[in-house]
Amino acid sequence: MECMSLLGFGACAPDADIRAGMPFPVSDIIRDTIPPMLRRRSSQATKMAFTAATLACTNAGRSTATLPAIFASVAGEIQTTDQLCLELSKADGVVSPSAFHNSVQNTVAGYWSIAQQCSQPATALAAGLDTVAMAMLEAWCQLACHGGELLLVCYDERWPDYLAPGSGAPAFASAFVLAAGVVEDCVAQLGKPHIGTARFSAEWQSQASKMPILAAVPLLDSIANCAEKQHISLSPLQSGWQVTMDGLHQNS
Amino acid sequence: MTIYQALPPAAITAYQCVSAAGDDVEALYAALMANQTCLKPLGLFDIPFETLVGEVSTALPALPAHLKTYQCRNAQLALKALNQGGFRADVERAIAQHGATRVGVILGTSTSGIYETENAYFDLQRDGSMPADFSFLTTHTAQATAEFLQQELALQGACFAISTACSSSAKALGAAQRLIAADICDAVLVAGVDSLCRLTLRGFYSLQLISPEACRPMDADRKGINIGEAAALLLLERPNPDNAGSPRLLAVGESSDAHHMSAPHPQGIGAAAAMSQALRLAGKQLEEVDYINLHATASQLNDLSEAKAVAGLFDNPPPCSGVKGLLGHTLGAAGAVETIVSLLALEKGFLPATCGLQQVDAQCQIPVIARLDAAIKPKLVLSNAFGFGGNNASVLLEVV
Repeated sequence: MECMSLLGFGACAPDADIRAGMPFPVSDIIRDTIPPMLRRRSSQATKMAFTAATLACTNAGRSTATLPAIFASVAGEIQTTDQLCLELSKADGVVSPSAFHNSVQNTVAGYWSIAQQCSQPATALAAGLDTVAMAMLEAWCQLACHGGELLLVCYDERWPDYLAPGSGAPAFASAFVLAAGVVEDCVAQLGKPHIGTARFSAEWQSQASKMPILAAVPLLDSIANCAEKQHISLSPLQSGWQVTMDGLHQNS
Repeated sequence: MTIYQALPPAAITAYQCVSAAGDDVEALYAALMANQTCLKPLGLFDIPFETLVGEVSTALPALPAHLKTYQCRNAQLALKALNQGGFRADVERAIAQHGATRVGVILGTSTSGIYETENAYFDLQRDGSMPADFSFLTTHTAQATAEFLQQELALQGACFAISTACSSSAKALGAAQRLIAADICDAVLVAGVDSLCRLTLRGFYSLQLISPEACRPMDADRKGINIGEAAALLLLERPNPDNAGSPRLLAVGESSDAHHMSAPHPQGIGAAAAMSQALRLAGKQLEEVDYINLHATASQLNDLSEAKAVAGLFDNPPPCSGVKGLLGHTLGAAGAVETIVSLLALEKGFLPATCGLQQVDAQCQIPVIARLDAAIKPKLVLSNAFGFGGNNASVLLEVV
């Protein structure tokens, strides 16, 4: 596989200031993207991931019911897990069965497949500060091995303050519909993720170290605003995972 | 609809396992031969109900001083497995051969270092703050033990965790095979690791799935599951003349039930899709499968669903069995642990027993074997792992 083609993307942030500060369209949580049965009980993580994923599919002109999916998150359902750990630390603590099954890292993957009636494989991936980079690498491998198209969603809700003081905010989700090889009229082409010399600006290095899921922002910025071929870092770590983006096929 | 292309197999050049059966793969093999349950009352912490667990009760090694930030039971289990037999030497040989950037680490885990997080929350409850040495991103989050293994082995390649509950490490094998097939890596260390913790014990209890006694997979009188812990490590490499005799990972079939978060599809549609996908990816026929290592947790719904999946997919299902009555359900580690059980079956030439099974559930119309069968030497084996969220994986293995 020479490259993968980006067919559409979406982004979501619940905080209005964060949305206003991003150099590409970012949506608030869109209630209609979450099935009525999930609206009240689902986490911020699930709602953000659903919003970004639905926007990406809509922008790509693809059905939400047919794409294999990769859901990447540093801390997964950390708010639900936090509540469970608080209960477990009390003498008379109560563990709710639904909170328990909603605490797994693949909660979003499970609800997405159920809500969209999508029986394609759905995976849940985590890689700490390299989460966005490894998610893009897994997307590359799936497309290189199996062909076709897939949905990649990178999301993290806000972490409770005491878990990693100074880190874990702001909540952010981004989603990408990607296809194997060259697709006409694609938004951009992405090369094989690899280790290289591209690095974040000092500002993004700092922000993405505190909230690693923001490592997708420079890529989203380039996709939305840049037509030239660029090497774009995907990680705040010095490991140096990056991707080459070619925006020549973009219309804007 | 994605059209799946055939995938080149990966050689499994080394494997090692720490479990309730003992500290290494030889102890696991001996336990499979003896078929006496390794489940015992829980010693690690107190719980407010009766059950048995598959606990690793031998001493766990301390992490090296420079990697103390990764200190948690999960990483200790992984380190213990790494140091058994010649496994570490096999990995180091692969690193010398392929280079540190070409050897990846993929972890499958459901709860990572949450046992230490639970302990830290007792401090939080009492003192109003987490202990000073609590390190969220190097113990709690899912990739922590993958990063620990990467640093312990001085690797510089791809490194991540798959966390899809009880299918985690089966899917990690699939991700590892793709990394090699896509020429990102030449070798990948796959680790399935989960430790006992309060969250899973009490969580499954809240779902009324915990058995008070040793579990009885596929039995008419099964009463639920027992939780276990384990670290199962496998070294995957690109096939070459040097590893021509090693068993092969042919494919990992994956699917989603799209049905329910905590209950399987009643007809096992997703489970059947994962098994048939594995065969399709490898270009193998149903009739060629010699043995199915079942997920068989001994929960009422899971066993019935899996039996329906097998009975629906195969006209003449091969012999089937499950080992959770021996080791407990090791959750995110189960896919890797039971892949190793299947590799032992392939390499030593036997079919494992279903420990605890007395009378096969009449609704489970598949040939579940209760006793070890040393007369059948399987060549092609499917090993199933199904998790919350209807997340299914089926691992297809072969000996040449």
